[in-house]
Amino acid sequence: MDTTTSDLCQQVAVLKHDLGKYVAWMSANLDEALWSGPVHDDLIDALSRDLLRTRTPASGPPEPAWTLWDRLSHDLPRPWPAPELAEVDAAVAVLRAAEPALRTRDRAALASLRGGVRAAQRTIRTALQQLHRRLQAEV
Amino acid sequence: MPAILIIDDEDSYLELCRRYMPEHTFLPPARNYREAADLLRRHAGSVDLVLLDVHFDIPEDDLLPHDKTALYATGDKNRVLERLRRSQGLQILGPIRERYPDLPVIVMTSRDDLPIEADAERLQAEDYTYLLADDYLDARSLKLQIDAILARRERPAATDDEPFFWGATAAMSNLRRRLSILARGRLPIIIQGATGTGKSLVAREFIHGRSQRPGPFVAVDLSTLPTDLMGAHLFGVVKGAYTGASSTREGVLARAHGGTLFLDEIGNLSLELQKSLLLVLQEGVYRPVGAVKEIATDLKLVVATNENLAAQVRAGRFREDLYMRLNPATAVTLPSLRERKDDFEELLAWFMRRAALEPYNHDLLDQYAGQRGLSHGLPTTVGRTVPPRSDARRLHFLLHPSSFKLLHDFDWPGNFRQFAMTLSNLMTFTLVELVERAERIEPTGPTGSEAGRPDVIPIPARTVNDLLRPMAAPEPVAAEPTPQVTGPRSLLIDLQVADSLNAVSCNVERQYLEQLYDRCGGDLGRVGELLLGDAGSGRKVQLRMNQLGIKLRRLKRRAD
Repeated sequence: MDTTTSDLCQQVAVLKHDLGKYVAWMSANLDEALWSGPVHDDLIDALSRDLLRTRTPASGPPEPAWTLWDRLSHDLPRPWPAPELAEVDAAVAVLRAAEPALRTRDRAALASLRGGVRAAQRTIRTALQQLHRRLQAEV
Repeated sequence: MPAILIIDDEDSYLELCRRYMPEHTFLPPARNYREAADLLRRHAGSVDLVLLDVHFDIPEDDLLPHDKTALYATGDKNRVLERLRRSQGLQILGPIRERYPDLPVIVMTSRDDLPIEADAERLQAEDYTYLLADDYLDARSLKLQIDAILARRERPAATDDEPFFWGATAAMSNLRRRLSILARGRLPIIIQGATGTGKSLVAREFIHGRSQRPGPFVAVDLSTLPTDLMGAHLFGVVKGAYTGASSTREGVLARAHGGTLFLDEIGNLSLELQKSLLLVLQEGVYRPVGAVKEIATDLKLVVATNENLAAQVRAGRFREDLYMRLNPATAVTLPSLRERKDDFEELLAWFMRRAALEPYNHDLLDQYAGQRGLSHGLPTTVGRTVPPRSDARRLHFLLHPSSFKLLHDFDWPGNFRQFAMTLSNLMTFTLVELVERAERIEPTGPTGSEAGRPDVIPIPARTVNDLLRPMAAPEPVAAEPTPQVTGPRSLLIDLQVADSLNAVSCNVERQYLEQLYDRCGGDLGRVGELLLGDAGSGRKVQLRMNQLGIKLRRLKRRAD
């Protein structure tokens, strides 16, 4: 077994679980109607939970999605060893840009950002899932 | 309302479930195995489903296994701990499965995330363990899965079409699920329980029905077979094997091929035949009496006993290897009627409904209905009170509270068999009397008493008394003619003149054992315990009863 690929597979598994799974934990289940029209509290609550408190460890403060990504991708080689990781990196940047609007519950800003946020969430999930499957097949 | 336990180190699942499944009750989440075990113990029977996460970011001390020495020896401790955290849910699943084999558990992870392929296969092969289908949790899918599992769990409680009444108590629901699992497996099943508890019924109607085996159900009561003919009866015999074996005959094993073989009173199997049965379980082959060639067989073996097989093993009367092959760890014990006081009222209603379906009672009910201007084929109910409104769509049997108490408090040594026959008789006698004097019953008067209401059939307390009195155990204390007999452990012996002292002695002993047998509800183990202080000495008692010419079947019939 290729140790490098095996290690990478394990790291991606962690990313898929911790970031991919929880980055859209509540918001992926929202009604379609909430992604258009006036910004509803349910949307803000779900996005706040998923992006600002992606992981809530038993000890320590909740981790936003971008902090989680920084921590979990810190040990990955640069340039990215897989194109999917670059996609995730770019998608996380989109989420990070929505932080001020989420923290202030700025409905007008969120109305214009939500489409991009949703697409970024999907990208993160899909890219990590595909990459994990590909690496599993390789190891 | 169904209660669901979430085992997760975070509140993520709880948040999601509470948001999208407000109709369900979620217990406070367990953060590790210790908390989960504690919650399951405290809420025993009321947890309907467990949602189990796989990844647990928890302190080392909380991680299973408790002893990690061997794991640490395999490599870097931090990596070992990381792997344990990433698969902790699977570690937790093991002991939960051992303790609660039929408690549904949804393992909340995708197949891709399971550490090894074997884990996925193992989980998917297990009954009552479910994997989420998606990589990323979809609340609607989870809700559908949860609702489907809970609906399956609720269904058994309401079944009225099964010949065995399971009821809705947690204990009986668990027993039913356990038997359902065992029925589908390949391993043998031991059913324990006193006479009349429905061992044979459960084997035939429930286990065989659920075994999905295409072959027939074949039952043998080993207590009725003479020892010297048992081998031929079970395994078959070839022509000329012994004097009188004039033709080749197949045994019950051949008839049960592809199906289920039910051996009642397995404790009666001789040690020699136990060895042959062991071969069937170990190798799937047997040899008919006198045959050289082995015959392959594929059958599901279900055995029943009201004796303590483990004690028989200790006493050297039952082979340990056969006992172990019979899968004793999963032996099920059917409760007696005395042990089902919790759902006695439901049992009464269920058996009354079944009694009403018996042809004679059915005809009487139709006759009664015709006389009172009601439709034929009406459903029946039973209760201690008069329904407030007249209802021409059913017939209500009214049981006086004192009659109900009599039935409830009766000892029922013959258990459900005796109970069913008593209720059937009760219905018959009540209806015959009513039909015969139907002409004299006043039509509903302005006061509307229950006696005049055609939809209410009062069961006379006298009929209940008359039916129960002959079956009641003799009073242990007799003032005359043996004033020295006192206390519940005493028996009254009827002295009879005989030809010899030996005959007198045998007569006394016969009465003594028969009365003890009745008093112990046909449980030979209990008789043995009373006489010899050893619950495992039932077989000894049975042998002695055989020597004295006591026919157990006659006693059982008498009890019923």
